[in-house]
Amino acid sequence: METKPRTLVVYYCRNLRLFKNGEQKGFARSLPGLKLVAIPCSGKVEAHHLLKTLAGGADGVLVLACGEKACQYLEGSMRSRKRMDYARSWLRQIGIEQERLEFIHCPPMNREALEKTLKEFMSRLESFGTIPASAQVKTS
Amino acid sequence: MKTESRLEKVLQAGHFAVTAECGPPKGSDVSRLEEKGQLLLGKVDAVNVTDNQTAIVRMSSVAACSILKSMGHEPILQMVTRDRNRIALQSDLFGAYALGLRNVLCLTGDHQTFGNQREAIGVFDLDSIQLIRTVRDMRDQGKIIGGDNIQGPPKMFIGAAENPFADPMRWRVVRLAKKVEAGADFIQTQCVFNMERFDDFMRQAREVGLTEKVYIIAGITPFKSPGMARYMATRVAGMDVPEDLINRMTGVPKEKQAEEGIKIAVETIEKVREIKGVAGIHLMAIEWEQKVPEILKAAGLENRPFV
Amino acid sequence: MIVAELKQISEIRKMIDRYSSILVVGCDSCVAECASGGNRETMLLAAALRLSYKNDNKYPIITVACLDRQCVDDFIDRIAHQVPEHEVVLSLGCGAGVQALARVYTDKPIIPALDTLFIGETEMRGVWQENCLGCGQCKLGYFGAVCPVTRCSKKLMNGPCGGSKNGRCEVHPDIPCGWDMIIRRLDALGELDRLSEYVPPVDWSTSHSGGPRRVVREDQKP
Repeated sequence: METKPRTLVVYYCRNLRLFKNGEQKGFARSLPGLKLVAIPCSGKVEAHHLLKTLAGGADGVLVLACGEKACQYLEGSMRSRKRMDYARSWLRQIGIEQERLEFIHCPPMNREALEKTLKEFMSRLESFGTIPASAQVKTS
Repeated sequence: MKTESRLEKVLQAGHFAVTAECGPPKGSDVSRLEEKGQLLLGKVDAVNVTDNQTAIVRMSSVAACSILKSMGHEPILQMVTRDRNRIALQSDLFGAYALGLRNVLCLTGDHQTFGNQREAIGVFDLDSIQLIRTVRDMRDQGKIIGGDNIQGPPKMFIGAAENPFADPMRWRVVRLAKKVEAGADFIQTQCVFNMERFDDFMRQAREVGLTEKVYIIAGITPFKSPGMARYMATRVAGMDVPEDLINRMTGVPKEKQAEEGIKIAVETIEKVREIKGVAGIHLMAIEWEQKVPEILKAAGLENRPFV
Repeated sequence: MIVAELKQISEIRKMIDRYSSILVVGCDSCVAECASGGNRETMLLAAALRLSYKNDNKYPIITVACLDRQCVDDFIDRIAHQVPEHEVVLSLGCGAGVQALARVYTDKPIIPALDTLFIGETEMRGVWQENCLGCGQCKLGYFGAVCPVTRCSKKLMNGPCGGSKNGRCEVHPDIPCGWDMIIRRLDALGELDRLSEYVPPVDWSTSHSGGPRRVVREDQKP
């Protein structure tokens, strides 16, 4: 049985310099279901963004932030982590897998490492299924 | 003499007074109360009856006092401001006096979150100092709060509690002075273990002339076990238990622990008797009332004056 | 300001499950300041509800709005066109806001999404402290601007109780003893003399004890 690929939205901090200019489009195409969103600082992502992204149809959201001491704006990545924890608490309340929201303080990462991380997350989302697991795909 | 209180008579005559404590039952079972009353009868000058202590629901203090009175005791009605507003408090004072009670100890009371009704409202319409003043004005002016005249004013001997060991330290004597000013006739202190600190407190009280205006009765509690000593040291608010006393309790074999606890209590009684301005002791042997006669005998206080 | 907290989703769901279209309305005043009912929180709750319903295979219509202030008619009027289009209004206002909405939109059920807690201050981002109980007879000047009614767990007016330990209240070590705070502050101001006077029983009739209160100013009316 063919299942739709899981939708994974990745909010990644520009300052991580993961992609050279224009590379991200090709990268995203290589992994079906992947949406890459560049942000000026992981601190820009708030709890309501994370939940809205899931409510809007994403199966999982990953935030790639700079290291704890590496944030250009000093506290952005640490605040982002706290907001992620808060958003996860809402998933626990709702009864949805909190692991659908993931946060990584990124070490300097090359292309292969990034691809590996994303593929791992994707397969985890696979096991969760859609929200809810038993629902048919609804177009509204 | 301001009142007909037997306790006042004993203190006025210059005797070293002895009071003890009696907790009412957690229900209407009078027999338990009568048992405790029997153990203490004739051994003490007056007996405190607590008022829903630690916010645990017990038989009302007025009722329990009345029962003890009918046994021949001189009860001290404890009254907390946590559970009743000024209407109920003043009303209870009328009733208490009508039932023959002549002593009242005015307290704020432990917070309601301490007990078995944690979801209850805490009233605190008055604080303990305002209650003291209310009782005094009832006795000396014959009026309730607001000025209405009383039909048969209660004339109570008024007590208050003081904790020489609570924070802020420098405030304790100031607060005591405020209570005396408001009308306290006698004070019962929290149980004394730290003699140095108590001595200092009494010195300060003497310095501001308080010992001339109020009878200070020192609280005494015997340790039943080292566990009890440690519990009081760490888990009871406003309690100061020096390490060496805990060590004495842990330093003796199990079968000797109760005896050591009593020994410490008797020593404490003897020491506080030496302090100028201490008018008596308040022996709080909670759920150990049967030891009261033994302790008093060892301290040479078993013969109560006839007044 | 008024401080409130978001209710658990399960509690909110219980109250609104019977409706199939929900207008979720936030308030950008006090509850925005305490991060419980402002614009962000309104979007968060709406998304959380969508997810929660989706998880149960339900798809009610959920619309989001936010008012500058939910307790003032002029602001409340601004959702007038949206309210009739929904079966229920889920309010992220404090208790005052919820009730004000109900007074204006008389034929619409208004459900609270918050538990309103207290009047207080923001000590720092993320920390809100109760400091006023609205007794109606402010005596803060006599207590070094620390309220004995609010900061003392027993509303004592004549000094601390015997349970104060190391500047902490007997109720919980996290609670500073209000009287310790009063004494320190007056001491620092050199005004400890204010505390030697007897404070008589409080007149509680100006507080809620006298019944729900109302203020009318003719000079302010239209």
